[in-house]
Amino acid sequence: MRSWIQQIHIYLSLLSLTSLVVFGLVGLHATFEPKFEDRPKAEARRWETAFATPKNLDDVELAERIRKAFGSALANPVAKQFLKRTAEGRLQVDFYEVNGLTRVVVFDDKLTFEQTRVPVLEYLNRIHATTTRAPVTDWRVRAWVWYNELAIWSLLGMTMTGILLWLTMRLSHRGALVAAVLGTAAFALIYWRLQ
Amino acid sequence: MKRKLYPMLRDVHLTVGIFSMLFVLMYAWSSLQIAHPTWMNTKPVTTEWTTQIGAGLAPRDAAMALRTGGGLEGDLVQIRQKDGRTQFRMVKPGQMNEIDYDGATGTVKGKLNRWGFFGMMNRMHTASGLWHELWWTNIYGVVVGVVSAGLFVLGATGLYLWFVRKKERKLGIVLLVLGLAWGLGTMVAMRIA
Repeated sequence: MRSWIQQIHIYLSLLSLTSLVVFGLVGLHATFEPKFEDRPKAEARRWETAFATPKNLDDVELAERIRKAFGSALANPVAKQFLKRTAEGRLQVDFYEVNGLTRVVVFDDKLTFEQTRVPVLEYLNRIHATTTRAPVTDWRVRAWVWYNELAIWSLLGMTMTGILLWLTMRLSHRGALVAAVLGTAAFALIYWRLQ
Repeated sequence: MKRKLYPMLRDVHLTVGIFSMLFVLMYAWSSLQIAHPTWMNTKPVTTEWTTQIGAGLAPRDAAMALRTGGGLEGDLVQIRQKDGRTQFRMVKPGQMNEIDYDGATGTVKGKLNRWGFFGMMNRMHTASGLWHELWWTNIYGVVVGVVSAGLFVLGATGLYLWFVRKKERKLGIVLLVLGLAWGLGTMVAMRIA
């Protein structure tokens, strides 16, 4: 039985090693990240392209036409809350995806683009939060969300089997006992004070 | 060398893992709740309250009066002022007070959102950083950093402990390569898309 638990612990860890590294990096990044309003703003890339705006489409259909023609491969169909009007009354479409934001403003004869690409650590933060809950159309993102789902279950499995291995094999280990007391006390105290 | 290294790394792996276990369990469990929001009720319970503080206070002073007089805790965020009324929130992971302060009379109407155990797991998952006004949240931020660094220690020592065990090596290599190809492969593919 112990040998089975140990094998499950090992194999789950190996299968989800990438996500373990991602979770570690994201946690460290979140620890040292400044307050939202103090974070440096990424430089936007701007360009425009000729576009004969069809008059027979509503905003949602037009946004979808733009996404298919010019959008990032990872951008999903735009939800209505990401369709806005500029002060001049032009349609503004925000395409959000894990790499950043592409903002498109629709003119009669052209489209203007403003693209902000997030740094790598913020990218990792975003993908770690991209789960099966997210609406997904792209195959890469779909592959990732299933890997992430596996990683979540693996993390749970690794922890449970790790605890079982400790309880059944090395409960008398003094360092582990001290760590258990310290870790449990820290968790309980923090939970109580933040509740 | 190998004879000394193996038991030492096994102790490090065990000790770091056991210290982090409740935090990692919290992250894993709340990840499931976040990915599958219908599985558990993570919504807060809301109660309304009113109190009186001094009139004509600036938002930060009003928050301070509520901290000292009303025992409220947390970061002061989302301040809005309109027509003599000031609205803001005081937030810590387990609680969010939505405050509506009438500067003319000093009347405060509050709405307290309080999360239960499952909601608290999600809120702890998303709390981090060392910039908070409530120093307990900053202490938690430090622990998040320690546990995150601990994941690297667990990963590195775990890899060594696995590799020296011959029994699990072959299937382990297959799973490691599969996991790297799937996880790292899709990560890179998404970044360059």
